[in-house]
Amino acid sequence: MERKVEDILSGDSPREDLDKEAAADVRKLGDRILNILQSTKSLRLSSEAHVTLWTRIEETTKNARRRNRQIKILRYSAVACAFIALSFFFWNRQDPDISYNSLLYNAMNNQNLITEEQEVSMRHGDGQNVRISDGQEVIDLSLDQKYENARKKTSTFNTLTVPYGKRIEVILPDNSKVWLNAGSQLTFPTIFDAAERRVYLEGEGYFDVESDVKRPFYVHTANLEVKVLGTTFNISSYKDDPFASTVLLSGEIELQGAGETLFEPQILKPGTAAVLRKDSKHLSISNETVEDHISWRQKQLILKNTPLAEITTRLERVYNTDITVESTSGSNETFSGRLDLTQPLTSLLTTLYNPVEYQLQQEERRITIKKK
Amino acid sequence: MTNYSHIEYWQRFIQGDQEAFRSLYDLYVNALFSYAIRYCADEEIVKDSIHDLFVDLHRYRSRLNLHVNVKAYLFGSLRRKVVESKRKSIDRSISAENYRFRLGLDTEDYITLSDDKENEVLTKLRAEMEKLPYRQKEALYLRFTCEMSYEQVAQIMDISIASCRTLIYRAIKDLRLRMENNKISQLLFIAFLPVRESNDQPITSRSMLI
Repeated sequence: MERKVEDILSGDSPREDLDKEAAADVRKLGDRILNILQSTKSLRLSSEAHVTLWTRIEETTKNARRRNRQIKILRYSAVACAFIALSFFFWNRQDPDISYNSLLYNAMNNQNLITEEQEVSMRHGDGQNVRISDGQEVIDLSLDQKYENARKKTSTFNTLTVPYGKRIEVILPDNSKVWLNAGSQLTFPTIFDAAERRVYLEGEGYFDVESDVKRPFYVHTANLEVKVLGTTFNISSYKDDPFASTVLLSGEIELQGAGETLFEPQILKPGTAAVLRKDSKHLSISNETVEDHISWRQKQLILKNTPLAEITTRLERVYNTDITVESTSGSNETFSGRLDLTQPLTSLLTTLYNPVEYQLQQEERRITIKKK
Repeated sequence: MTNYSHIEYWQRFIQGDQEAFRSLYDLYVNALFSYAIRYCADEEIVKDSIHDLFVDLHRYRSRLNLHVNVKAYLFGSLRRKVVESKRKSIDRSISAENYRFRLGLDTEDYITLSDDKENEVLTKLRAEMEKLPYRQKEALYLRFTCEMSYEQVAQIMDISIASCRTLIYRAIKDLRLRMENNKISQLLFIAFLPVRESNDQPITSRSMLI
């Protein structure tokens, strides 16, 4: 059978095969396609920009080196002081900044693009990417810990990605449990430090932290930082949400700002929710809406005067579907009640958008809502 | 392949050679820039991402793997950085114009041939290419413009080699079908204009030679 142009160009040696075996018209189209792509000019930085950018890189790396040296000197003197004072306080302590920075670096670098993922997957520190099969609901890493610990002492970082439309439970090496909601990523070390446990979250997670008074557990997010000893709480920090929130169910947590957000550390009491508005950087603490925040675990969405736009954003994540509303009239409307997330998306949307007034069009993973 | 010397620079850089770090920058910065600017219209975001990429490389070089495909590693890391800062900039300002992947850029002009008919076909083909899904375009760009292997493209786009091949296959097939449809409508057009047909004759035969 004659090979078509797509057969040849998707092969391993398109140029050679085009010349060798293609019919004249196939070769012509193939040549044209290749010529366009290969003559696409490589854009160059101007020589000025080339130098400026390099200078910037060099400055930053030099400053970092200087700072490192200062930290080292400080650390040595601290150790010396500790010796003199016969105190072991500084002795085995890890520099929290360093372990936090490497966590952050790995969180940023190990990220898969959530929007491109179909399946839950875990990227290991060595770059290996493991896909988690569809039916699996729990990833248990607490067992790995035992033989892993014995085998090697160096810890790397794992990043777990939960695409839209999926959710998963993970048991961390220290036996803490985390339920990750759709569209979330969690980065954590394969082995926690002796002095502390740190993870980085993007998206939403419900944490049940294994109590360990000697090893505080930190959840870092873009805007908030939570320090816990052993509690159950929910934290939500989606990039595309205008807010980030934490809800405490039991125990006690300390809440701090992160990144550009600064406020006095707050101690949360059980049954309270802290919500940070990202634009005003305003933090509000209340005990009214606790149930709403964690309803996703029961596959429900509880609404209390929730704006329509926020509801559709949440539904988009849960159902991994784009929802476009081609009408602005209803966007300020708010809803109260309970949405059952085990129902098909279209039936939920018809409760929100009256079918008499609105028309729903579904096309694969895209729903358009139009005013009639 | 030239990659051999590149991996040498890479390994010398990891061992602490500052000159090799500079060489890596000189070797790759234009290719990285050309690639990332197709992802993101904002030149400043692209430059910042390249800055961050190299600073991170330097900061964490003791953790880097000595045996990597340097080009694919750098492209892949930059891709993540650009996507990351694009997201951030969407949060801050709506004004940042963002495209997901473009083959042709407004600033580039194409080589025009003396042959008008052929130019017309190429322009049409370019336009159809730009209409392809952005991941297909990205795969085409990496595979053919950057002349990378499927393995490299797969690593950068973080997908399997098989799905990479499928992306290319679908893209080319789609292009062929679009161009065939286009030709049919053109033939119909010519059939109704017999006078033009004779004018076109010599040009068509010349374009066959190219």
